[in-house]
Amino acid sequence: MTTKTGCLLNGGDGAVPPDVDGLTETVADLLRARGWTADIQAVRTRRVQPCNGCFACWVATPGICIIDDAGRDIARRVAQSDLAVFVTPVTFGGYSSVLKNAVDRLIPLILPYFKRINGEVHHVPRYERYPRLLAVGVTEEGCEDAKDVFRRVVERNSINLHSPKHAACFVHPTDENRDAILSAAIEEVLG
Amino acid sequence: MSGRALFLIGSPKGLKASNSARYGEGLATRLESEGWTIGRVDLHEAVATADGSDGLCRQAQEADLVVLIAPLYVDTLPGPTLRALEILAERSSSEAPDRATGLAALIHCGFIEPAHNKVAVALCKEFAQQAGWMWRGALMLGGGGMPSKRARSVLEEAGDALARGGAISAEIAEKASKPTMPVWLYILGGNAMWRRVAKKRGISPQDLRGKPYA
Repeated sequence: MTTKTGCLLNGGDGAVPPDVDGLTETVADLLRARGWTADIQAVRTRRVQPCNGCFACWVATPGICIIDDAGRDIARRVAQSDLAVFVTPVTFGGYSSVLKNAVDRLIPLILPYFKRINGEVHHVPRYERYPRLLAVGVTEEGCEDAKDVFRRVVERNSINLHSPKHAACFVHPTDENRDAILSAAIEEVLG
Repeated sequence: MSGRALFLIGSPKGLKASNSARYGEGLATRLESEGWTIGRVDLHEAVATADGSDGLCRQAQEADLVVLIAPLYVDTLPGPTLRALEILAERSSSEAPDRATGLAALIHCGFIEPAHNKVAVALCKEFAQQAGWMWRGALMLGGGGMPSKRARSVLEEAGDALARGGAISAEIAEKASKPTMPVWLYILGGNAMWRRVAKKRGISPQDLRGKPYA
C-alpha cells in the first residue's frame, strides 16, 4: 500500500506568538501518527514570487508556471499530495500574504476552460484527482466575523481547486487543547 | 465636497495595462470633476521595497478616501495586495490617525458572475474594521474586463456617490451584480478564446490539457 502524503504549507512569518511553525509541526506529527508522510513547506523560507497574471501556465507552458522558482515546486508538491494543509494566521479572514503568494501560484493545476459546477461557472480540472484541503487558521479568541470569512475562503478554494473534501479549524495561540482541535479537523477532512 | 483620494491598484499589470487601473479611471474621473485630488499606487511595486511601503502608508494617511481595486486571485486578493493591507493595518494600529480613512473596494474577476468576488469584498471590509477605517462600500464586476455599458454606468454612479462623501450603496452595487451576458454564451466564447490564444503560441487543444504533475 502506498503511503499517503500531506503537503503542509506554513504561511507564518516566523513570529512567536503565534508560532505557526510549531503548529505546522503538530499537524505533521498527527499525520505521521496515522502512517502518512508529511511534506512541510515553510513558504517564507523559499523564494516564491507573486503570480504575475500572465496566464502562460494555461496557454504557453500548460500546467507549469512560467516563473521558475519555489512557487512552481510547491504547486507540484500540492498536486501530487493526498492532502493539502494550509496553516496560517487568519488575516482579515483570509490567508497571510506569505501563504497567498504560494496559493496564487496553484492556478496551473486547473485548466483555463470554463464549465458550470453547482450552477456557477468555474474552471475545468486539469487532473483526475486533487488533494483534500485542510486549513488551520491561527487567531485570537472571538474574531467571529473573520472566522466566518475564513470558512468561506476555504470552501471557495475547495470548489475552485477541485478538492474532493475540505475542512477549516481555528487554533488560538494559547489553546491548551489544540491537539484535540487539530485531530478532529484531520478526522473530518480524511473521514 | 472634495478631498484627496488614493487609488490602490492591486493588479500585477500595474497602473498602465491592467483592468484594475481602467476601472479605477472610471471612478477617478467623477471624483476629479468634483475637485478631488487623485493619487495612484501600484501595490505590487509598493510592497516590494521598504521605501515603497513607506510611501504607500504616507499617502494613505494623507487620503480622505482610499479606493482598492484588484482582480480576484484564487477567491480573494492577490498576495501582494494582501501584503499591502497587512502593512497598512500595522501602521494604522501604531500611528493613531486624526481622522478615519474611508475605504471603498472594487473587485473584478474573470468569471461571468460578479458574485465570485463576495468573499474578497468581505475580506476588504474586515480589513477596514481591523484598521479602524470607515467602510464606504464595494463594487463587484465579472466578465474578465470586457467593457460593458452597465459597468460604465455603475462606475459613474459609484464615483458620484464617493465624490459627494457618501458610500457605494447596496442599490448601486446591485446593478453591477448580474452577469452581463448569458452564462452559456460566456462559457462558449471564453473557451474558444482560450483555444485561440493558445494556438497563437503554438499550443494545440490537446497540449493545453497536459498533465505535467500526474
